[in-house]
Amino acid sequence: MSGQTLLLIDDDDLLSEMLASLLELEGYQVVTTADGQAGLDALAGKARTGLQFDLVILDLVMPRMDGIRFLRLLPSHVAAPPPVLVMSASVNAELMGQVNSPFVIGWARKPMQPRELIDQVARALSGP
Amino acid sequence: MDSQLSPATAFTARRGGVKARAQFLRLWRGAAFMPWLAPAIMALLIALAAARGAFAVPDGMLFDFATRHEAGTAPRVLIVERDRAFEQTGSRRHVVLIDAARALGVARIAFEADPGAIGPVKTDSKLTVIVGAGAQLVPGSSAWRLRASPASFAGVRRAALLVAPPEYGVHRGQFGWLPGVNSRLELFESVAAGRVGLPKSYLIRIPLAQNLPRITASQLIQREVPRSLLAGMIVLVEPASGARPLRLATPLSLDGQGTPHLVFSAHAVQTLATGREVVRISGWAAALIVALAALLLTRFYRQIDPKRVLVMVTVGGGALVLGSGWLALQFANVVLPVTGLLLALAMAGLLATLQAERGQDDRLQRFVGRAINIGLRRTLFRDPDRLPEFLLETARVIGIRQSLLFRVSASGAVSYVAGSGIALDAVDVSGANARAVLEAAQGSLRPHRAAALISGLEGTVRLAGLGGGRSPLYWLYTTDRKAAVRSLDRLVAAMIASYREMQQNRASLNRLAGFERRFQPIDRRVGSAVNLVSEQGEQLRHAHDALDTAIMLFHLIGYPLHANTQMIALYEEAGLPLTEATLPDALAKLTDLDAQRIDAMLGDLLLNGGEMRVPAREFGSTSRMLRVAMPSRLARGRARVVVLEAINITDVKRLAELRQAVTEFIDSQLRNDLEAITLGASMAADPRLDQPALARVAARILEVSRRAATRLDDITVQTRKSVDLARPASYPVDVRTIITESLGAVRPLAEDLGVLIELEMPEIGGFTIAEPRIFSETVEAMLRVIIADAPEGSTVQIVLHEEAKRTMLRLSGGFGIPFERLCAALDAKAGDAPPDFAVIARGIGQALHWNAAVSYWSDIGKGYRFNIEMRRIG
Repeated sequence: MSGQTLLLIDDDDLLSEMLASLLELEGYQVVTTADGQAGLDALAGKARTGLQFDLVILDLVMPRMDGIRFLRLLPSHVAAPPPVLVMSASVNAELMGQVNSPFVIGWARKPMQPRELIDQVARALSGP
Repeated sequence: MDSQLSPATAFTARRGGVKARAQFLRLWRGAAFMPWLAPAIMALLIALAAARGAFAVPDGMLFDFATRHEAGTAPRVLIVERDRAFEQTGSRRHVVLIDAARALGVARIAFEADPGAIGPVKTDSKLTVIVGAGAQLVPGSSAWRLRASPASFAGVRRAALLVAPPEYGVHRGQFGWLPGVNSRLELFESVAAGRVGLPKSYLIRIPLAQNLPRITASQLIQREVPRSLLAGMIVLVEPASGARPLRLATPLSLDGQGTPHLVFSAHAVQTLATGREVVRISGWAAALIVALAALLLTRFYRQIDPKRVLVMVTVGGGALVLGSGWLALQFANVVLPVTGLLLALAMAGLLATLQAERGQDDRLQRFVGRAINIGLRRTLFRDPDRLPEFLLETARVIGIRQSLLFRVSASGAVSYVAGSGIALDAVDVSGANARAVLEAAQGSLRPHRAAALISGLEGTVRLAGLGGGRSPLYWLYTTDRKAAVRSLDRLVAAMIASYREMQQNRASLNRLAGFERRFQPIDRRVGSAVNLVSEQGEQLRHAHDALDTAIMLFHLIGYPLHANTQMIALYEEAGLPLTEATLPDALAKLTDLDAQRIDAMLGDLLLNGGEMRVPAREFGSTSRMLRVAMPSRLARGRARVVVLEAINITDVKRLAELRQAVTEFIDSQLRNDLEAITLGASMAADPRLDQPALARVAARILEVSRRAATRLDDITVQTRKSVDLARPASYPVDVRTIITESLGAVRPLAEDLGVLIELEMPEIGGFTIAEPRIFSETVEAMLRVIIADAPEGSTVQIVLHEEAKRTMLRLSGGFGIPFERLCAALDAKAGDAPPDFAVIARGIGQALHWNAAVSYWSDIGKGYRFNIEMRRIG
């Protein structure tokens, strides 16, 4: 578990910092970005070093580039996109249909309980 | 020739002839001289009457009145009475008298009656002696001559003593001369006054105040009067006492006593001697003056409303005429045709008033006719033949399942009009009882028991008379709703009254619309029309009290009466025929209620009055609540209108949407904050966390809490603003949704013009502060401006970009106009600018209220660019 690198994309800086702190306590390395475009840039930068993120934790509603557009553009920026855990306040069928990305492996409904988030991240990283 | 024409041609020719005649009549009636025709005829008639002396009597009376009361002039005439002493003096007494007069400086001495032989009189230029002599017509001619006298009159002038005939019994005039055999025969008064060249006749001034001194002949002979008083005087010597004095009816003696001829002559001589004899102007001159005055007055009255000035002009004009008459009499010694002028004044005023009234009537008739025609066209109920249908439908709703409408002719024949559940054959109106019921029903507004007309029907059989003239209409129905019989009867009574009233109104309107009954005074027609209009206006006023509601009025019987614009639009949206749909039809289309529930609801309302509210189906973007209001049972005598009102509850819905948006925002944003706090609290409890990390977490928790509190405050402000629906309320909205809706509204225009639209916006939107309706209207207007200006095949771009704290929308494209023109269009006052620019300008102004900024730019060939920048809060 330790040593796995997560990319947290959320425009809420305080929440992002809290989440990162929580996940770092669990031994993950967390990189945070504030919107989709910055997330894509981070993924591409990592890929250029021959490495990649193990999991992307993605908020949907963000300025500049929202989560859905990020998911659309993901394949064009990274050859082997990492799995994505989507965070959203409203998780419903309509939204899930709108997102409709093969890289999404799970949904986390806000507000998340710390334990629940840690479990979801662990499950996502352990693979299907 | 006509016989060779084909029927069609002959018809055309005939029609052409009729048309030409009608055109001629129209031209004749509309000719400019027409308004002058009646006044001209009036002026001519009065002038002719004046010329023929028809006004001589009143003019003479006016003359008498004026002259009788005027001040007298300095006496030029002295009347000498024959006293006893003089008469006894002897045969030379006249010569002595003449000598005395000469000695006293008398200018002329005149003996009214032939005094007999005077004796030789000394002739000189100082004194003229005149003797009156009777005049007679020369047989077989119109010439006059003096009667022969046996007396010798050496040195004496003889003059004709003749009194002009009276004017309708009053002597006020005298001849100036008489036609003689060879020359003019001079009159006594003219010679006495020393006047020659007088008109043939003249009027004598006979003032009450005229002083005509008298002395006796003896006094004159004795020279008891100073010479200074008699110098230049004219002495009239009265006839001998033996002669029977002639008395005349003059203005002085209208009491019948008569004025002595000598006094009459003295006034005539005084008048002539002072040069104040009066003449009448000639008949034609009088006619000309009267005609001119009448036409001038008519012209004057045509410039203004005669009714307003009639009294003033008549009184003022009368005073002017009388004043002019007096002035002419005093200074020109002329009698004007005062009566003719006064009559012309009165007649011109009367005629002008009549013409004005007639014109007003014509105008009123035209306007009322047009208004009524428009009213008829606008009335929804255009087919009176459908009244029975509406009546039966309403009857069905209130639970009357068996109905029959039939007419009974004067001969007793029964004819079917409409019905359900009762056959006409079952009705028998031949019996005496049946006829009594028919008569009773027609004479009353209440339904009557009608078992005498029909048998075999269940329930109570009722008959109502619905009026209808020679073939009255009857409504036969049964009811089994025993509990509600009284309510039903009341309702039916109201329906009967309504039905009759409607028939009467229609008949009245039809008559009014045709204007065939011209004998009917205009004020009654206007009154009738005004009654109808005011009745409807009153109903409309009550109905339109609520703002922004669609309203339709149905008559109690069920036919549509009036719909306002909003309701017409709603009917169109719902696909309802405006003039044909009954109230149940309308409710079935406009609500989700089924037919049974509608009937039950309306039945209850009709019977008991009151109102009910039903949510309407949504048509377009407007949410409505339908309100059906019936007049209460007590009010049915006066109010017979059922109101269907569609209340716009979009604002209420907007408020709900606003609250929903706020709730969603709080839910969404506070979830983040709550999550951050929860995470922080969880971490703070984690023993793995070292002290610095713990302090950092605690600081973050505090920060998140503050942020949450700030957000709540912001939202509280927004929510409070939103409660006031009177002003635009801004709140967190998803701009993306609004753009999508606006785009949907303008897409048909873009497709029509072949303009492409390129849209770029986030897949999922955040929360941006805006007033959604105004924002939406503004964006739509901007897009319409750009699309309408875009060349075919070009692209209009919509770019929505959301950043952390702001949301930016850019709309661009089109061919473009000079920037100055764009600024001018957006700065123009409402009404001056094209509608879309006005909407944009209003939107720009309103955007300031939610801290948004709008910028715009345009240039020829480079297109338009509208930028809207708004506050994004999450």
